[in-house]
Amino acid sequence: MGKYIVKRILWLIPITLLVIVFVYTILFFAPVDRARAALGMGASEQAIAEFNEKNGLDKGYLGGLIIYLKNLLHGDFGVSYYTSVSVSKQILVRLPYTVKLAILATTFGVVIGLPLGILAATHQNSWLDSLTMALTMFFSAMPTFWFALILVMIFSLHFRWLPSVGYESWKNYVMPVVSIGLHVSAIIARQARASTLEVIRSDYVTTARAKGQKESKIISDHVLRNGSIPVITVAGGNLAAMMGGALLIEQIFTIPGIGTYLFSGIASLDIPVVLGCVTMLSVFHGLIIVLVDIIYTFVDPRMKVAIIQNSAKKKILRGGETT
Amino acid sequence: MKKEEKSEKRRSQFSIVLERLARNKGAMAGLIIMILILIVVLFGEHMTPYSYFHQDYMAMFEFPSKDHLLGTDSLGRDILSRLLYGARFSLIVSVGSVIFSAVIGGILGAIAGYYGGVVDTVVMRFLDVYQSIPGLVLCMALSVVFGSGVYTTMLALGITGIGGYARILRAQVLQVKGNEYIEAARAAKAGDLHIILKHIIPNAISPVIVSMTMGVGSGIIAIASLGFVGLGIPTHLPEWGAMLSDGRSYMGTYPYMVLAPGCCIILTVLAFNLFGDGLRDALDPRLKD
Repeated sequence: MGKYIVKRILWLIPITLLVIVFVYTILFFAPVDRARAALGMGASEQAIAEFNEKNGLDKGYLGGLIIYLKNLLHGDFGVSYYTSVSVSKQILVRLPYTVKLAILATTFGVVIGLPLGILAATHQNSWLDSLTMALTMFFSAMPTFWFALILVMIFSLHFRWLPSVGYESWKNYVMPVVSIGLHVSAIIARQARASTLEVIRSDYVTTARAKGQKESKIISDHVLRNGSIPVITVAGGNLAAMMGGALLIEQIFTIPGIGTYLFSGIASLDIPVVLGCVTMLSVFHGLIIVLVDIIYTFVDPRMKVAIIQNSAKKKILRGGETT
Repeated sequence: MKKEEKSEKRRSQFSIVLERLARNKGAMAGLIIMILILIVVLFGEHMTPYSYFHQDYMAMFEFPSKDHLLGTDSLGRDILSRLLYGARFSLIVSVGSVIFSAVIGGILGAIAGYYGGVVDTVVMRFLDVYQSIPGLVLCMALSVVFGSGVYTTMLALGITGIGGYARILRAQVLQVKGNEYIEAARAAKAGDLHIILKHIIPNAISPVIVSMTMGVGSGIIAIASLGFVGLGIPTHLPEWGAMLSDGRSYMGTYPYMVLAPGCCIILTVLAFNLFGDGLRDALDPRLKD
């Protein structure tokens, strides 16, 4: 098991490298003159040459990529073209806001969505089920940034209960978390309902019922455990995606997180900024996926058996080849 | 009774699916809204009381009234006319991008699933790369690089979507590949291309169609997200997300400017999601009841 995890984590290195090459390629060939954008149209030829040299833009596509990767080996994400501020410093300063938002919104989504989905499934075809399904349908069709605007309109502009900008107090996080969290909870509730319905009809639940097990215990021991696996995937994927900051939500509420930074980088095609954020994102994404797999094996020991058997099978195959 | 059974046998899979779909109230509601939206897209220009760019400086910031059913914006333009005209951007760009990603992603996935081995590994690693960049981030980056415009936005969205379709079709092909009719076709010396196009794709396509229907919905949200930050469709055009962004500055006093475009987005996305949901249940009845 340990070996499997290490292998999975080592896999992240080539994937992240490919991500860097992919994104670098997209941004490099964008038809913009970065030197002129940074220094202004009236900049002298010499200043432009200096700018290009400082940022490695004079080395061409491959040269620039190699310099970037070399610096990355030393943990150096480079500096922004336009502000000359260190990218890694910016990411470290901004990460706490984004992590806070991501964890709170995902937790909100699971806490609301999971019980709702299970309730809807156990009361299938009742009014509770229909209501839940209608609400989740509505919330998953709603753009989160629009919902955020509506919340601002009601709670900031009309009632003046919550501040619409800023990031110091807990009050600043209520609307961002709710606007993303309700969307997440809608997706999780639908997923939880579908997987619960599948589990409820399985043979082991029928057996448990036949032997006279209490319904509440069936739900907690069998249904919740087996039904939660797809929910973990959804929640994990959401957490990973949100590490890039909910770009629009952070902008609306002026939270100085990764999302705002990444967006400014994208809008100005600032290669080091975008690459730094995307690299961090893809590593986070990979780690969370591995973590989700580890959680699987706790929730469902069969997965662990499958993993071990799988690697054992490979070993046998490889052994067969050598002899 | 007997007669019914007989006719049951003779009916094609297609008509059975259609009947199941017709019985699903949600899907039918979705279909009706979709048809209405299609009419707006096709004939929107002739239905609007004003032209989408007509500015009336005597009628700025007018609340909904008899003359302007949904009010006017900061330049005195009729919001209803703009919304009706704007439907085409959301719809055409979204549908176009979904077709693009489904075709390219589908080809990639089918090849990976059918040939396996090295080809499969290469495609899968490529998909891993795709998966570890959040869709909106990739889409925004591409949209900045390609510049604003209808076709460039379609392309940016389309490229972003490739990964998902490739994954779905690959999984489906892997499942279908093992069937005996494929073996039979191979025994009859059918070529790879023939087997993929005639036998594998038709048997593997239904999840792709469901996913495309849902994809139009999420595409519309993505277009609005781009428009909201000033990317994608050129800002002088009445794209719904851009209208939201316009209205945002005045929403304290003129909430209708934000409410109306949002409701258009939700209604359209809802229609596609409802229909897609119904389609999935109709194609795979095991998931239902």
